[in-house]
Amino acid sequence: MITKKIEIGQEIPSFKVKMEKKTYKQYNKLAKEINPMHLSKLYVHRLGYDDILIAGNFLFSFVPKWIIDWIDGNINALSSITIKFENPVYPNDEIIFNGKIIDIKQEDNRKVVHCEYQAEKINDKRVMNGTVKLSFSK
Amino acid sequence: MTENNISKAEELNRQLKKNVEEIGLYEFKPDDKEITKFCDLIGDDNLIYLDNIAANKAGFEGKVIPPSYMTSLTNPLVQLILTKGGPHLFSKLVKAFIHVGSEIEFLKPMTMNKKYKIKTELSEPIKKSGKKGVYYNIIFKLSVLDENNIICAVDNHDCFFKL
Repeated sequence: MITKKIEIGQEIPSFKVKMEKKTYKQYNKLAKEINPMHLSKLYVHRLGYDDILIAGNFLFSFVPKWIIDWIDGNINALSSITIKFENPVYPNDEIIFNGKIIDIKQEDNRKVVHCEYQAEKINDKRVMNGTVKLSFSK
Repeated sequence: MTENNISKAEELNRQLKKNVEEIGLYEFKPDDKEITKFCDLIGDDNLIYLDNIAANKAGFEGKVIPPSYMTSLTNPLVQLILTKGGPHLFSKLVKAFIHVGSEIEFLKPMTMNKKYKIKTELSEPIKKSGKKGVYYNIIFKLSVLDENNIICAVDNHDCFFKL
Protein backbone atom coordinates (compact mmCIF):
# COMPACT_ATOMS: atom_id res chain seq x y z
CA MET A 1 0.00 0.00 0.00
CA ILE A 2 1.19 3.51 -0.74
CA THR A 3 0.77 6.03 2.01
CA LYS A 4 2.02 9.18 0.27
CA LYS A 5 0.21 11.19 -2.38
CA ILE A 6 1.66 10.58 -5.84
CA GLU A 7 0.79 11.98 -9.27
CA ILE A 8 2.08 11.97 -12.84
CA GLY A 9 4.90 14.49 -13.31
CA GLN A 10 5.84 14.45 -9.64
CA GLU A 11 9.59 14.49 -9.06
CA ILE A 12 11.37 11.95 -6.91
CA PRO A 13 13.56 13.75 -4.33
CA SER A 14 17.08 13.79 -5.75
CA PHE A 15 19.84 11.69 -4.23
CA LYS A 16 23.54 12.55 -4.24
CA VAL A 17 26.42 10.15 -3.67
CA LYS A 18 30.21 10.37 -3.96
CA MET A 19 32.13 7.38 -5.30
CA GLU A 20 34.63 7.37 -2.46
CA LYS A 21 37.83 5.62 -3.53
CA LYS A 22 38.20 3.75 -0.24
CA THR A 23 34.58 2.57 -0.24
CA TYR A 24 34.80 1.44 -3.85
CA LYS A 25 37.98 -0.50 -3.12
CA GLN A 26 36.15 -2.29 -0.29
CA TYR A 27 33.24 -3.03 -2.62
CA ASN A 28 35.57 -4.57 -5.21
CA LYS A 29 36.99 -6.80 -2.48
CA LEU A 30 33.50 -7.78 -1.31
CA ALA A 31 32.33 -8.47 -4.89
CA LYS A 32 35.56 -10.41 -5.61
CA GLU A 33 35.92 -8.26 -8.70
CA ILE A 34 38.37 -9.56 -11.28
CA ASN A 35 37.65 -7.32 -14.27
CA PRO A 36 40.77 -5.17 -14.87
CA MET A 37 38.48 -2.34 -16.07
CA HIS A 38 37.67 -1.83 -12.37
CA LEU A 39 41.10 -2.59 -10.94
CA SER A 40 44.03 -1.58 -13.13
CA LYS A 41 44.88 1.98 -14.12
CA LEU A 42 47.47 0.72 -16.57
CA TYR A 43 44.90 -1.44 -18.33
CA VAL A 44 42.24 1.29 -18.64
CA HIS A 45 44.77 3.91 -19.79
CA ARG A 46 45.60 1.61 -22.71
CA LEU A 47 41.89 1.62 -23.62
CA GLY A 48 41.67 5.42 -23.45
CA TYR A 49 39.97 5.90 -20.06
CA ASP A 50 41.19 8.39 -17.44
CA ASP A 51 41.02 6.07 -14.45
CA ILE A 52 39.56 2.73 -13.37
CA LEU A 53 35.82 2.60 -14.02
CA ILE A 54 33.33 2.25 -11.18
CA ALA A 55 31.56 -1.08 -11.83
CA GLY A 56 28.00 -0.98 -13.09
CA ASN A 57 27.02 -3.35 -10.29
CA PHE A 58 28.10 -0.80 -7.68
CA LEU A 59 26.39 2.09 -9.47
CA PHE A 60 23.21 0.04 -9.79
CA SER A 61 23.17 -0.49 -6.00
CA PHE A 62 22.18 3.11 -5.38
CA VAL A 63 19.07 3.04 -7.59
CA PRO A 64 16.97 0.54 -5.56
CA LYS A 65 18.25 2.09 -2.32
CA TRP A 66 17.17 5.59 -3.47
CA ILE A 67 13.75 4.41 -4.68
CA ILE A 68 13.01 2.15 -1.67
CA ASP A 69 13.94 4.98 0.71
CA TRP A 70 11.54 7.25 -1.20
CA ILE A 71 8.65 4.78 -0.82
CA ASP A 72 9.33 4.40 2.91
CA GLY A 73 11.11 1.06 2.73
CA ASN A 74 8.31 -0.84 0.98
CA ILE A 75 10.45 -3.36 -0.94
CA ASN A 76 7.39 -5.39 -1.94
CA ALA A 77 6.39 -2.56 -4.27
CA LEU A 78 9.59 -2.72 -6.32
CA SER A 79 8.69 -4.51 -9.54
CA SER A 80 11.47 -3.74 -12.03
CA ILE A 81 14.41 -1.49 -12.76
CA THR A 82 16.24 -0.83 -15.99
CA ILE A 83 19.63 0.82 -16.09
CA LYS A 84 21.76 1.94 -19.00
CA PHE A 85 25.30 3.17 -18.39
CA GLU A 86 26.12 6.02 -20.76
CA ASN A 87 29.44 7.44 -19.63
CA PRO A 88 32.23 6.26 -17.33
CA VAL A 89 32.12 7.05 -13.63
CA TYR A 90 35.50 7.27 -11.90
CA PRO A 91 36.56 7.11 -8.25
CA ASN A 92 35.80 10.37 -6.39
CA ASP A 93 33.12 11.42 -8.90
CA GLU A 94 30.01 12.78 -7.25
CA ILE A 95 26.77 11.87 -8.95
CA ILE A 96 23.20 13.00 -8.48
CA PHE A 97 20.10 10.95 -9.26
CA ASN A 98 16.92 12.68 -10.45
CA GLY A 99 13.65 11.10 -11.48
CA LYS A 100 9.95 11.61 -11.93
CA ILE A 101 6.69 9.73 -12.22
CA ILE A 102 5.69 9.41 -15.88
CA ASP A 103 2.59 7.23 -15.63
CA ILE A 104 0.21 5.72 -13.10
CA LYS A 105 -2.11 2.88 -14.03
CA GLN A 106 -4.69 0.82 -12.18
CA GLU A 107 -4.07 -2.88 -12.90
CA ASP A 108 -6.52 -5.30 -11.23
CA ASN A 109 -6.36 -4.25 -7.60
CA ARG A 110 -2.93 -2.64 -7.84
CA LYS A 111 -1.62 0.83 -8.54
CA VAL A 112 1.29 0.60 -10.99
CA VAL A 113 3.65 3.56 -11.04
CA HIS A 114 6.17 4.08 -13.86
CA CYS A 115 9.16 6.36 -13.26
CA GLU A 116 12.10 7.57 -15.32
CA TYR A 117 15.41 8.57 -13.83
CA GLN A 118 18.86 9.72 -14.78
CA ALA A 119 22.11 10.31 -12.98
CA GLU A 120 24.75 12.86 -13.82
CA LYS A 121 28.08 13.93 -12.48
CA ILE A 122 27.77 17.19 -10.58
CA ASN A 123 28.02 19.97 -13.23
CA ASP A 124 28.97 17.43 -15.85
CA LYS A 125 27.56 14.86 -18.23
CA ARG A 126 24.84 12.28 -17.74
CA VAL A 127 26.25 8.90 -16.75
CA MET A 128 23.20 6.64 -16.63
CA ASN A 129 19.47 6.53 -17.10
CA GLY A 130 16.64 4.07 -16.74
CA THR A 131 13.16 3.28 -15.58
CA VAL A 132 11.56 1.98 -12.41
CA LYS A 133 8.23 0.19 -12.10
CA LEU A 134 6.47 0.10 -8.75
CA SER A 135 3.35 -1.88 -7.99
CA PHE A 136 1.31 -1.05 -4.87
CA SER A 137 -1.57 -3.01 -3.44
CA LYS A 138 -4.62 -0.81 -2.78
CA MET B 1 34.64 -5.89 -39.57
CA THR B 2 37.42 -8.27 -40.43
CA GLU B 3 36.85 -11.99 -40.86
CA ASN B 4 39.27 -12.48 -38.01
CA ASN B 5 36.98 -10.62 -35.59
CA ILE B 6 33.90 -12.49 -36.83
CA SER B 7 35.60 -15.78 -36.14
CA LYS B 8 36.68 -14.42 -32.74
CA ALA B 9 33.04 -13.53 -32.00
CA GLU B 10 31.99 -17.05 -32.97
CA GLU B 11 34.70 -18.49 -30.77
CA LEU B 12 33.62 -16.26 -27.86
CA ASN B 13 30.00 -17.35 -28.33
CA ARG B 14 31.00 -21.02 -28.48
CA GLN B 15 33.24 -20.80 -25.41
CA LEU B 16 30.73 -18.89 -23.28
CA LYS B 17 27.94 -21.33 -24.14
CA LYS B 18 30.21 -24.26 -23.31
CA ASN B 19 31.03 -22.68 -19.93
CA VAL B 20 27.34 -22.02 -19.18
CA GLU B 21 26.49 -25.64 -20.01
CA GLU B 22 29.31 -26.99 -17.84
CA ILE B 23 28.40 -24.78 -14.87
CA GLY B 24 24.69 -25.64 -15.12
CA LEU B 25 22.57 -24.32 -12.26
CA TYR B 26 24.80 -22.17 -10.05
CA GLU B 27 23.93 -22.73 -6.39
CA PHE B 28 24.72 -20.27 -3.63
CA LYS B 29 23.74 -19.28 -0.12
CA PRO B 30 23.88 -15.53 0.53
CA ASP B 31 26.49 -14.57 3.09
CA ASP B 32 25.05 -12.66 6.03
CA LYS B 33 28.28 -10.80 6.82
CA GLU B 34 28.81 -9.79 3.19
CA ILE B 35 25.34 -8.30 2.98
CA THR B 36 25.78 -6.38 6.21
CA LYS B 37 29.07 -5.03 4.87
CA PHE B 38 27.41 -4.17 1.54
CA CYS B 39 24.64 -2.21 3.32
CA ASP B 40 27.32 -0.33 5.23
CA LEU B 41 29.22 0.51 2.02
CA ILE B 42 26.17 1.96 0.24
CA GLY B 43 24.82 3.61 3.41
CA ASP B 44 21.63 1.53 3.57
CA ASP B 45 20.33 1.21 7.12
CA ASN B 46 16.95 -0.38 6.36
CA LEU B 47 16.58 -2.79 9.29
CA ILE B 48 14.81 -5.50 7.28
CA TYR B 49 18.23 -6.25 5.73
CA LEU B 50 20.08 -6.22 9.02
CA ASP B 51 17.85 -7.48 11.79
CA ASN B 52 15.70 -10.62 11.94
CA ILE B 53 13.20 -9.14 14.40
CA ALA B 54 12.63 -6.07 12.22
CA ALA B 55 12.26 -8.31 9.15
CA ASN B 56 9.74 -10.55 10.98
CA LYS B 57 7.75 -7.50 12.05
CA ALA B 58 7.62 -6.40 8.40
CA GLY B 59 6.20 -9.81 7.43
CA PHE B 60 9.34 -11.58 6.20
CA GLU B 61 10.64 -14.96 7.36
CA GLY B 62 14.05 -13.49 8.07
CA LYS B 63 16.47 -10.78 7.00
CA VAL B 64 15.82 -9.71 3.41
CA ILE B 65 18.48 -9.58 0.71
CA PRO B 66 18.52 -5.96 -0.48
CA PRO B 67 17.31 -5.51 -4.07
CA SER B 68 20.36 -3.22 -4.38
CA TYR B 69 22.53 -6.32 -4.01
CA MET B 70 20.98 -8.12 -6.99
CA THR B 71 23.67 -7.46 -9.61
CA SER B 72 26.40 -8.02 -7.02
CA LEU B 73 24.78 -11.37 -6.29
CA THR B 74 24.83 -12.47 -9.92
CA ASN B 75 28.30 -11.05 -10.64
CA PRO B 76 30.34 -14.01 -9.29
CA LEU B 77 28.51 -16.26 -11.76
CA VAL B 78 29.19 -13.88 -14.67
CA GLN B 79 32.86 -13.88 -13.66
CA LEU B 80 32.89 -17.66 -13.42
CA ILE B 81 31.38 -17.98 -16.91
CA LEU B 82 34.11 -15.70 -18.24
CA THR B 83 37.00 -17.42 -16.53
CA LYS B 84 36.04 -21.10 -16.39
CA GLY B 85 38.75 -23.18 -17.95
CA GLY B 86 41.49 -20.66 -17.26
CA PRO B 87 42.37 -17.22 -18.60
CA HIS B 88 41.99 -18.34 -22.24
CA LEU B 89 39.15 -15.93 -23.10
CA PHE B 90 40.97 -12.85 -21.86
CA SER B 91 44.46 -13.77 -23.02
CA LYS B 92 43.45 -14.81 -26.54
CA LEU B 93 40.06 -13.34 -27.41
CA VAL B 94 38.74 -10.54 -25.23
CA LYS B 95 40.55 -7.20 -24.98
CA ALA B 96 37.92 -5.69 -22.68
CA PHE B 97 34.61 -6.60 -21.08
CA ILE B 98 32.11 -4.14 -19.65
CA HIS B 99 28.63 -4.25 -18.12
CA VAL B 100 26.60 -1.64 -20.01
CA GLY B 101 23.17 -2.08 -18.51
CA SER B 102 20.64 -4.33 -16.86
CA GLU B 103 16.91 -4.94 -16.88
CA ILE B 104 15.95 -6.44 -13.56
CA GLU B 105 12.61 -7.86 -12.52
CA PHE B 106 11.92 -8.37 -8.84
CA LEU B 107 9.32 -11.10 -8.53
CA LYS B 108 9.65 -12.29 -4.94
CA PRO B 109 11.64 -10.88 -2.00
CA MET B 110 14.62 -13.10 -1.13
CA THR B 111 15.49 -13.83 2.48
CA MET B 112 18.73 -14.95 4.11
CA ASN B 113 19.58 -18.46 5.30
CA LYS B 114 18.20 -20.13 2.20
CA LYS B 115 19.82 -21.69 -0.81
CA TYR B 116 19.27 -20.19 -4.24
CA LYS B 117 20.15 -21.17 -7.78
CA ILE B 118 20.87 -19.10 -10.87
CA LYS B 119 19.94 -20.31 -14.32
CA THR B 120 21.84 -18.67 -17.18
CA GLU B 121 20.78 -18.13 -20.79
CA LEU B 122 22.94 -16.25 -23.28
CA SER B 123 21.85 -14.18 -26.26
CA GLU B 124 23.71 -14.44 -29.58
CA PRO B 125 26.48 -11.81 -29.97
CA ILE B 126 25.44 -8.64 -31.84
CA LYS B 127 28.04 -6.36 -33.38
CA LYS B 128 27.80 -2.69 -32.29
CA SER B 129 29.87 0.46 -32.79
CA GLY B 130 30.49 3.06 -30.10
CA LYS B 131 32.85 5.83 -29.03
CA LYS B 132 35.54 3.27 -28.24
CA GLY B 133 35.20 1.28 -31.48
CA VAL B 134 33.49 -2.00 -32.32
CA TYR B 135 32.07 -4.18 -29.55
CA TYR B 136 30.06 -7.39 -29.38
CA ASN B 137 26.95 -7.25 -27.25
CA ILE B 138 25.80 -10.34 -25.33
CA ILE B 139 22.95 -10.43 -22.80
CA PHE B 140 23.31 -12.82 -19.87
CA LYS B 141 19.78 -13.67 -18.72
CA LEU B 142 20.27 -14.66 -15.08
CA SER B 143 17.19 -16.07 -13.34
CA VAL B 144 17.45 -16.48 -9.57
CA LEU B 145 15.35 -19.39 -8.27
CA ASP B 146 14.55 -20.36 -4.70
CA GLU B 147 14.56 -23.86 -3.17
CA ASN B 148 11.12 -24.53 -4.70
CA ASN B 149 12.30 -23.42 -8.15
CA ILE B 150 10.20 -20.26 -7.98
CA ILE B 151 11.82 -17.37 -9.84
CA CYS B 152 12.64 -14.56 -7.39
CA ALA B 153 14.37 -12.19 -9.78
CA VAL B 154 15.69 -11.95 -13.31
CA ASP B 155 18.73 -9.88 -14.28
CA ASN B 156 19.16 -9.31 -18.01
CA HIS B 157 22.82 -8.39 -17.68
CA ASP B 158 23.87 -6.53 -20.82
CA CYS B 159 27.59 -6.81 -21.61
CA PHE B 160 29.95 -5.50 -24.27
CA PHE B 161 33.04 -7.42 -25.34
CA LYS B 162 35.89 -5.78 -27.23
CA LEU B 163 37.70 -8.40 -29.30
